[in-house]
Amino acid sequence: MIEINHLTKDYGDHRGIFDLTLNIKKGEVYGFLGPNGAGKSTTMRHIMGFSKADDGNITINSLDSWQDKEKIKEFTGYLAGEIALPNDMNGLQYLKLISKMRKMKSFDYADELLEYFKINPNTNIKKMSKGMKQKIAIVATFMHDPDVILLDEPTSGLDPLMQERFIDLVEKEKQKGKTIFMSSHIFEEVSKVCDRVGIVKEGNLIKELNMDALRNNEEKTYIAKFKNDEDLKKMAESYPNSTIGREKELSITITDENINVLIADLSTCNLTYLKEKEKSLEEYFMKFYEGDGDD
Amino acid sequence: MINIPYFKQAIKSNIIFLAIFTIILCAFLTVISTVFTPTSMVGIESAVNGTFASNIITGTTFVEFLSNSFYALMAILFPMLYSIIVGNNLIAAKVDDGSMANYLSTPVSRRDIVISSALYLILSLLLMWIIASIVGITVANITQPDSLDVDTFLMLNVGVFLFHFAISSICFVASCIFNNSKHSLIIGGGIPLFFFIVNLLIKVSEDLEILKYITLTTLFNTSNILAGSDYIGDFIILAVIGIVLYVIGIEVFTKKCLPL
Repeated sequence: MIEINHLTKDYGDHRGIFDLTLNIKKGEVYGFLGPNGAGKSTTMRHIMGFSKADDGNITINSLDSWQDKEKIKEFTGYLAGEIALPNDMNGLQYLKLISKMRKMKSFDYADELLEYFKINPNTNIKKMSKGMKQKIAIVATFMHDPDVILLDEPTSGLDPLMQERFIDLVEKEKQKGKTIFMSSHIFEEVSKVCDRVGIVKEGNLIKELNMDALRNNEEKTYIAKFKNDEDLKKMAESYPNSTIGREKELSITITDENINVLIADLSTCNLTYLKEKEKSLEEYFMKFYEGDGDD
Repeated sequence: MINIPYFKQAIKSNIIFLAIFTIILCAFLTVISTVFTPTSMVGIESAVNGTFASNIITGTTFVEFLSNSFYALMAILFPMLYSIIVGNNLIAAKVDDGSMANYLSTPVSRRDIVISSALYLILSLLLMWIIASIVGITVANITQPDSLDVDTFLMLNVGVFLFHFAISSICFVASCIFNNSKHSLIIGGGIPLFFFIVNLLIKVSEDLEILKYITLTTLFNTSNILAGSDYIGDFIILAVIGIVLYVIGIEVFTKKCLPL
């Protein structure tokens, strides 16, 4: 659905995007993860046809993001990373203006969304808080029921309750079969809704993760804390791949088929506790960033 | 070609400036019409004799008096300020603060947005001068019955509109080229104000006559219009400058990379 082919935009000083290739399938929710300045927004801006690439191209539904930008916008919704709504009108006037520019026949879904996010749109945009503006912008992104949705750091500025609501909305849109491309530096929101995650660093895609595989990883790590050293040593010898942690802790990594054997072995020991260590997206992310942080 | 909802929004956002500058313009026109009497002119001329104002405030017929006062100063400056402010507001300010991204996220093309903006600026200046013409004729009928040469007065207004069409095209093209208000205002405001100041210098000292080749105000030649000769060429040049710069602005904005 969204194909990014060898996209390059060099702003000098290693800033920009370099030879980025991504392929987002129809109906997929793709998370774009990276720290500030990694090139996430730049990629979004190219998909939207605001900027022209130095090299490479992007197509959405086989339409070129620079040549056919108007056609693409008929079925695309975009939430900018930095919300800049016009200051000389109120929220409702703004949404009505955008809906007219989109030639929308019905404003029903917009009303529904305003209700959903508990927004009073009759306030002057100038007087709105950052979160309020963000919510108005979210309504403008979704109100025409677009097939492709581009979200650039969508939950920044929202309180935790509204973040939750937003994630639910994305989930709902996903059920409707929408293709969603979402950038973020918040692991939770990405790991909750995304099918795949691309980790970007200094304009390069350094790793793509399949979130299903991450969630249903057949390999799990357990941490067991023992009451005495003998049991610890005995278990460490039976599981050579395990590592001894601090204070009689042992972390053991096994595949799911061996879980019964492990429990049988542990049942002979005197334990303080046993817990599963969650492999989070954050851990992956940190690994990629810290791993070569000195270059 | 133009997007009606966006055009309407351009009107809403800028009508306050149009109202203010049109009112200022009409107020000056009214005051000047009221003070003019052929005899008072003799008094004023002797009073200002020897000062630089003597080069500005002259004229014995009413329309001549207007052309040397109103059309030499206020009619040049105020609509110019309007074009500078609104020209910048229409494009560069929206790119600068990022709000243009909202409009460009809709299927409305950049071309339609920039053409709607250009059209607003041109039509609002046209409206400003239509109102000024109506007010001028009405006030003259009350304060100076039968002394206004209406045809010449209207031709002055056609000329000054074309002059401002050209000036606004400079503001507009700068607004389309630059991505921030600062640069747009330095160029789009600086050049017109430079023309205005040069025009004043020429009026103050005849030695500076040579400067007329570097200011657009030369193409709004009131004495030629009063004499009824040789002004059509100037009008055409002003119109061509305006058309060319507006078209360049539209093309640049349609094709450039935007930092949104």
